[in-house]
Amino acid sequence: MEEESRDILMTTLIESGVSIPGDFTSVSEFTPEALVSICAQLLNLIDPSASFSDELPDSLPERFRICTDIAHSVKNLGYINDMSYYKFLHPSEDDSYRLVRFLVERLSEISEGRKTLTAGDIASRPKMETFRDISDDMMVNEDKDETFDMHIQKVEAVLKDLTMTSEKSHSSDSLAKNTSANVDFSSQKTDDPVTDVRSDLSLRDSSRCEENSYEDPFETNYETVELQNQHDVLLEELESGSSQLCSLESELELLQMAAERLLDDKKPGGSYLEQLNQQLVVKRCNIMDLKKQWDDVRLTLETKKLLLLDQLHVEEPEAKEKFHKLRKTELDLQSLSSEIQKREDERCNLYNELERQPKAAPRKSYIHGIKEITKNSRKLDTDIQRISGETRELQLEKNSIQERLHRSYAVVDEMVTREVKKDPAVRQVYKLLTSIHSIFEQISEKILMTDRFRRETVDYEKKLGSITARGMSLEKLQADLDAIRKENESLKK
Amino acid sequence: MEKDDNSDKVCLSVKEKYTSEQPEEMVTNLKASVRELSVKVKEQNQRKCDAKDKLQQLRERISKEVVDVSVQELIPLLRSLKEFVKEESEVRSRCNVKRSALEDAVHDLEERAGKGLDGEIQEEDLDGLLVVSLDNLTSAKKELGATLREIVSLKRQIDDVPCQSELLQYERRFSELNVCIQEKLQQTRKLYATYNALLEIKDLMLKETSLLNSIGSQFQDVIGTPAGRVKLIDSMEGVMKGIQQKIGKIQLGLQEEQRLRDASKEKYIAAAAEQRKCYTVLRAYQEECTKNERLRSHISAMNEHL
Repeated sequence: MEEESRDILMTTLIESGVSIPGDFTSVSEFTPEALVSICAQLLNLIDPSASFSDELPDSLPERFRICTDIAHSVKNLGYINDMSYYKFLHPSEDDSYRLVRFLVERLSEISEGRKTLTAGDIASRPKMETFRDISDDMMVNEDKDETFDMHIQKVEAVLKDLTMTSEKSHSSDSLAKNTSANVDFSSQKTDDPVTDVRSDLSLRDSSRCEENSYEDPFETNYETVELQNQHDVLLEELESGSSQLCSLESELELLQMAAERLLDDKKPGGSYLEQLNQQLVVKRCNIMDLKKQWDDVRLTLETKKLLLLDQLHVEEPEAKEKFHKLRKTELDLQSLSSEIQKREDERCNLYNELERQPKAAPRKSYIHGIKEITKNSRKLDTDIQRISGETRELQLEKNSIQERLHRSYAVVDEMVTREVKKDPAVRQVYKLLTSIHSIFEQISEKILMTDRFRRETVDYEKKLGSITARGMSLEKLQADLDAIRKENESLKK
Repeated sequence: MEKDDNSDKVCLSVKEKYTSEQPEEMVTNLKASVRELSVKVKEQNQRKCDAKDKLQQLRERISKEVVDVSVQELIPLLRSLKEFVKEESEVRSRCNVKRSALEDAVHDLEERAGKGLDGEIQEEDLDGLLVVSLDNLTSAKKELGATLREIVSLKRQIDDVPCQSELLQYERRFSELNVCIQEKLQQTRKLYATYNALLEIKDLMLKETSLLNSIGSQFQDVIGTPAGRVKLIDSMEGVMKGIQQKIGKIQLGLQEEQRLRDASKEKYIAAAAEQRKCYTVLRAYQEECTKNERLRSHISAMNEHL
């Protein structure tokens, strides 16, 4: 997808008549010298009065001046992004890409002589939904009576469930990955009509033995149909074989002609190619001459015919009407012949123009590609909406469970506290209870922190990517600054 | 095979009793036609094999004896020459036919003009001429229609190739969609991660709720006896060990994510600082270039003065 769009831009540059220095295959690989050269050529093409140099000199002040002038010209053309001289001296992939695309668009607009369509006219821009953290302010209260009739075995069951938590988490993660990766749906299989035909034939064959002896016409009809099908198949095979045989014989004839010319005389092959080209030119001229002669003869004869018709006259009214109709028809025929000739010439011109067309993919392939990507984007939108809704519901459910948990803990805590007052030996139970509850809370907090850290990592990486894409190198800038300072000091002396 | 033969015999015996002429003749005719077609197909296949063999022999001969010329260059030229010869003969014959028709018509009119004293033409002859002329007009109209359809088809083919500005629009759209898709994928991943985290927390809360409920339900029964008390404490200690292992795993994951976050943050801060330094150096560089131009202009002015 990305490579396809980059190829379009490079192809457009070449077709525009811009000579690309070096062997660069994409805009991202351009050096400052290459970028300045291409932009200067494009500006010279866009504005014939401009006269930017294609070469970047070694002197740093001259480089600065030339790049500043080019940047100023690009800004005047309407470039809305940030534009300065250092965009040329220290190019980044994204900036170079946008800059070259902007200039090529301007050039194509001028050459085409019409306004460029906006991106919205080609395909509607899909909506981008941003995910927002949902905080639920409402407290969900559930009045539910819970029975306390569990036993020691259930405690052990809970303990057993804890050991399986990691497996469940892993399985849920894998399910999430599968869901996110599986964006496209597989196409459904359709029934094969050949199989149906075969089943019908097999049914017919199986029921053949069971037919009654008095149903002889059905057998005859079945045999007739079978023979007719066989007849049709053979006819079709004969036709296809005939076309193949014609192509083979034609190829054989050409090869025999080539063999005769090359093997019999044993002359150098280059002269044969030249002779053939000359013969082709002669034949083409002969055909054109024949057509011209025919046009001349046709005009002469038709004119003579009309003159002869004018000499005739009729007396009867009905015959006179027919005579006028005849003359009108002949005149129409003459004008129609001229029209046919004009259209034939137009057809030849269009055919030649079609042959000169560049070998590019048709419009439908580009439109189809954009539609496919747009469709995938909409699927992602649907997926995001679904997971957002599920996350919201899960948040609400979590809040309600948390409320129930707090109530349960309060009840048990009160119970244990009351017993501790009676019997200090139960204090260990109280400590264990408090510790278990505290650890559960810590686990929840740590899971949330892990998720927050993960999101922060993604954000930082995104910001880092945007900075890195600018491609500014401190070492290069410092070296340029040192060089210009030395030059200034030498000028002062 | 035996079964098929038996069925054929049964059919034949039945046909002897209840045959009718018309279906039988149809079947016979079809069988004869199928047999004839099979023979023709067989002959055609034989001719195809012969042609292929000859082609192979010729190619081998050419590859052995001819070296300096490529046959692939020669055959297209020969094919074009053959097509031109064919076209020339077709054009010549078509022109001759039309010219003969026109000459006949002119000759006929000349005879009529010379025959009649006053140049009068009969109505019957006029009808014939009118019919011929109308037929010619109809043929010419059909020919023009075919030519126009071909012209429209060629124009459509030419227009199907997009122009440069259109290509650039497609390229821009591809680029925009690519960025959009990448952003949505990242957003989807974040949402799934958050969902999984909430799901895990929910499961833990449910487990804790179940544990507390079980403790509460049996506390009054077991707290009264020393044996029950010891058993309860042992069970709770087992649960304690389990959740301590769990929190250990979670802590490791948290530390890993924190380390990644800190590393990304440090990289970002360093890149931002470097970017600020770059802008500072750029401003200094611009000032030095301006100073350089001023010094050069001053030197050139001094030289002119001298």
